Amino acid sequence: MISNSHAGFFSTVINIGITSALLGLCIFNNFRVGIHGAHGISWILFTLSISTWFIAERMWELNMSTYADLFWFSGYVLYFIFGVMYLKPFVHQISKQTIIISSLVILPIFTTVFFTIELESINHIDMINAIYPLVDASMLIPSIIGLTLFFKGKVRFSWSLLFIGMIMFVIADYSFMYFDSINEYYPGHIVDVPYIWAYVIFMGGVVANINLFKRRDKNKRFNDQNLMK
Amino acid sequence: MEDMPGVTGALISVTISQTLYEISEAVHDDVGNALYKKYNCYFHDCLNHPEYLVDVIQQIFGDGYISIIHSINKKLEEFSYQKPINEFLLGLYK
Repeated sequence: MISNSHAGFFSTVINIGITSALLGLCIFNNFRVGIHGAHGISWILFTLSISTWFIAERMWELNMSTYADLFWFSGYVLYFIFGVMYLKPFVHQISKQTIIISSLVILPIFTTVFFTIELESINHIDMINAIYPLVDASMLIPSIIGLTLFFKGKVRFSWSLLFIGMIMFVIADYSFMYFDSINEYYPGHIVDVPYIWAYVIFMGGVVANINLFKRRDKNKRFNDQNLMK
Repeated sequence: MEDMPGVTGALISVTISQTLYEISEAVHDDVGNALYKKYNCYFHDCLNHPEYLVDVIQQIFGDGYISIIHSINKKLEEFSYQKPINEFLLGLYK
């Protein structure tokens, strides 16, 4: 059985390794997708959101939790805009009804969080911790719309992994909120594992996108007709 | 106005290229490569075979292909009085 301090050390090392690899893959993906068009911009926003979460993780390790929260929330805003920008070229097919139905996913998570926290004795730290699973759930909305839209397409796999990754964040944040509220959380706690899984699944999503859009083959005759460059 | 040989094909090619480029450089290149690989076809050849373009876009984006087709249609509708373009647009929605 490893001690809490060893668990904390391994958790930190694994976290640095995984988040660094994810950030590296995101940058590689940006080179692959390019910077033009709605999807070029959206993947840049995705990289920026991963960057802010990377910074937030490092600040959390340095016990700068207030600043870490700031970076984490900034990451969520960037991630949400990533989803919106990606879906922008397909806006004709997204009805209000689809948005409303996708938004209903927040309800069970909101209800679970509402019944877990004790409203009478809640302080501002508990409140911040409680907001995380709800914000995670909001991030699922563009993913659900994307999955519905791209159901039979190749991009569905990449979107599925981003969706599952965000669900892992919901589980991780909800578990953290619970164990922190009963003062049982410590760095390296078992609830850190879903966070690592979330980043690993995100890596899978980025790799799927990299594989989908292969590097341009200069020898292919298709490039002779390239009129837009 | 009658169709001028090559001009209509070029117009179709530029429109498809621009529409895909608005999504991303990677999507533009991937659709072009897939068209060439599967059908030995360039963007301008889609004038006579719109179903090739629909098939390739559908493979990447699933049902999301309708928005891309709609975008191409919007750009070309002012030229739809030309028979080949009208037939191309009708072919996209078949």
